[in-house]
Amino acid sequence: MRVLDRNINAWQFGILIFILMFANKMLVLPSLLFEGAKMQGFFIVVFLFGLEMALLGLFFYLKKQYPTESFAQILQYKFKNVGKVIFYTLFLVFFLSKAVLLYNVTYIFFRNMIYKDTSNFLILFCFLPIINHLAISGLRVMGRTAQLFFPVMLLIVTFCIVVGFFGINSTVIWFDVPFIKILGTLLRHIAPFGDMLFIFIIMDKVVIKKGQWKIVFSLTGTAAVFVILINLIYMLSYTYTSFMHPYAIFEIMSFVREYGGLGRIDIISMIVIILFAYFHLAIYLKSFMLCFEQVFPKLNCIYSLVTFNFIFVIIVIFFIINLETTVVFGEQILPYVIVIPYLLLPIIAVTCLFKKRKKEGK
Amino acid sequence: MKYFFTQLYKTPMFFVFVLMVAFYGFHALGRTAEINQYAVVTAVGIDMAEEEEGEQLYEVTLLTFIPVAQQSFTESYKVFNAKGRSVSEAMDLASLNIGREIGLSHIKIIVLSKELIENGLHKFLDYLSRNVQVASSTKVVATDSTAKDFLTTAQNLDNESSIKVSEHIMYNSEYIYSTESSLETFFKGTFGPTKVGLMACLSPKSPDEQTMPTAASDSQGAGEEKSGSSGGSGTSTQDMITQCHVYVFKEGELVVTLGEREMKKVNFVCGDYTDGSIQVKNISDKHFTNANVTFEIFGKSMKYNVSYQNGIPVINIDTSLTLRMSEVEDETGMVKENVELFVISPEATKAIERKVKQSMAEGINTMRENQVDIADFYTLLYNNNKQAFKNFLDSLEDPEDYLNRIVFKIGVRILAK
Repeated sequence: MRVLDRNINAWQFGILIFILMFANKMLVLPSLLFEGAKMQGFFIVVFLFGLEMALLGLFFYLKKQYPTESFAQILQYKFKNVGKVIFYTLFLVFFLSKAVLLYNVTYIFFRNMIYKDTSNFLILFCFLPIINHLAISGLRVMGRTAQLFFPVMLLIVTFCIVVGFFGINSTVIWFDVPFIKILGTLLRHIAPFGDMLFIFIIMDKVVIKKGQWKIVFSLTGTAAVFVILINLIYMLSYTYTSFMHPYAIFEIMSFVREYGGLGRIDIISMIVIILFAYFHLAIYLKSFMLCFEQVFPKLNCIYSLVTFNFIFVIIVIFFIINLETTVVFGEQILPYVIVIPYLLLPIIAVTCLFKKRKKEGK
Repeated sequence: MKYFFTQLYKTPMFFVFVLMVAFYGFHALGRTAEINQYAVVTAVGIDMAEEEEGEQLYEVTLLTFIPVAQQSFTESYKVFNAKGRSVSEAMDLASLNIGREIGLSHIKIIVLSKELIENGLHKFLDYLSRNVQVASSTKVVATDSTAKDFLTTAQNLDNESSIKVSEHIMYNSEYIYSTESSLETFFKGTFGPTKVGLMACLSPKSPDEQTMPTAASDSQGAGEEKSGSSGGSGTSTQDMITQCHVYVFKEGELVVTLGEREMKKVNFVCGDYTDGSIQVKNISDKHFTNANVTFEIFGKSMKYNVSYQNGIPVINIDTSLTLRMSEVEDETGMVKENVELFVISPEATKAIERKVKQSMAEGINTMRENQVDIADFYTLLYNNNKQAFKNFLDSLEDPEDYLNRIVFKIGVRILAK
């Protein structure tokens, strides 16, 4: 089996980031944030997206300094081979955990809201072949497929947001939660963020011509604004009953359907959830494969695929089968994994940048 | 052809697709049809039943549509019921009585008996709030009869005149005499800062109000009630469902019952209406002499302004009402004025203003007496000046009694359409 990992251009790169920005943030997260920090949950999303954008900025400078090198090569220069392997092992855990969280939330959404007889195997059977195929086909194929579906996704998300505004009819109390509680909620629900690690993993496969960075920043910013708006609309629509409605983007449409009598427009949101879920899982798998390649350089990519599928299936079948366990997994285990993109990654990147400049200065 | 198969062979996703269709397609074909599997419930009633072995039983009544393939377009509904130690258990037993799985996705109305409400509401609504199949827009109403009788009457109404029970309160939020009564609005109020939830009350009765439906005798504790059959609730074609009043709950406990007139006064303060009328008595001007005039509300705008005087909040409620004269009872006979061209005289305007101000003051008093902040002044004050409002609450002996300490200033402006 041969993986065709050709380079991707700015548009494909931007679209993949756009898609990834929605991962794990448009279903259960807004409800959990409101539960913990009430309306101030909105500011948590804004703050964490600020960090994501900062990571993109860091990537921008790193890419300028090391235009052709991969992140693995940079790590090898600075931390030797052992350091690189340790970091990439952590990255492996990160992407696998994120994939498990995303799959479970999506599966539980379909089971609860659409078809209660849906078995885990059925959904796995629908997802796994396609995400494996996308990952094997390579980044360019993934990017081009994403480019193909991007207008549909953009249109549907925009539609959901515009329609969602009609559902806002509540007055709600602002700034009634102490800062320490907001901070606690932020740390507890940080797990859905930190996906920007992906762009560092594919660093050498991204070719961005002069003047094209604005495409990447615009698409990333647009995605961030969209997710923030989804959170805000959801919180203002459901307010104190948001704990009863854990699937934000779907619930926004349900709210408008139920009170505005606009037919079953909530089905539209399902299309975008399905499309996003496929791409999110494929991106996580691809990132896992690239990290696996660095940790076990002598093993064929078939091993990384089998490893991912095996561990992933074992976890989702035996350990996480309902929303409660998923939330516990996301709240109590994953926050420790998020240390990687939010603490480790900036330290590495800044160190690399600083050392490079120092060297150039000499 | 060979090229075609070669290309197919090179496309692994095609085989995945064929495999999925083959496996799940045949699996789906082999399953029981959903119309034979589910009973579609459109209304649920919950009553308290007698105790059994020291345990309180609850009776669940389901207005059910069982899909049957037929050539006519009529939908036939049946009422099923069952008793259990919890709502969940009663639902399961009802499912056994029907012989099908209960589908709750199409529920339009939930009916709770008054007896149940007086015994604490939250434990019954908990089942429905946790059930993902029940839409949050589902109407929830109380009845002063039993929920079982109510649904039997509803079934008869539907059979005889196609009046759906859920339609009775469809436009409640638009009228000044009532309130929106759905799971969402009720829970929003209950879980909000004021902890106040409202619920409309419907009553099954005949127009002459003579024969109230009697409780159905059901010695087996479960069974089917057919319209007009013996053992039913003794309803007749004269039956109808009327709106009687609104129950106000605080933290899930019934606090006060408001009639249509009282609700109207409260709604004048809250501004939750788009339709209604105002009656003013004994207006004398160039058009009338001691006339009783009714004005229809065409539009309204409300503004709440908050200020603090000596640490006490002062809320200015400015209301603008656009009215149109709709009915006159004049001592001197018919009034020769075109309604479209009619201009409300200053005397009439002042009389209306006085009337609305008085109604609003009475509405505020109702809220004050019962300590129920139906208009959610709490949120208004909190968002206006968090610290000043906190200081004000701290200065009170009983912070729950904040409505009695707030100063209200009411301004009314009348405009003619």
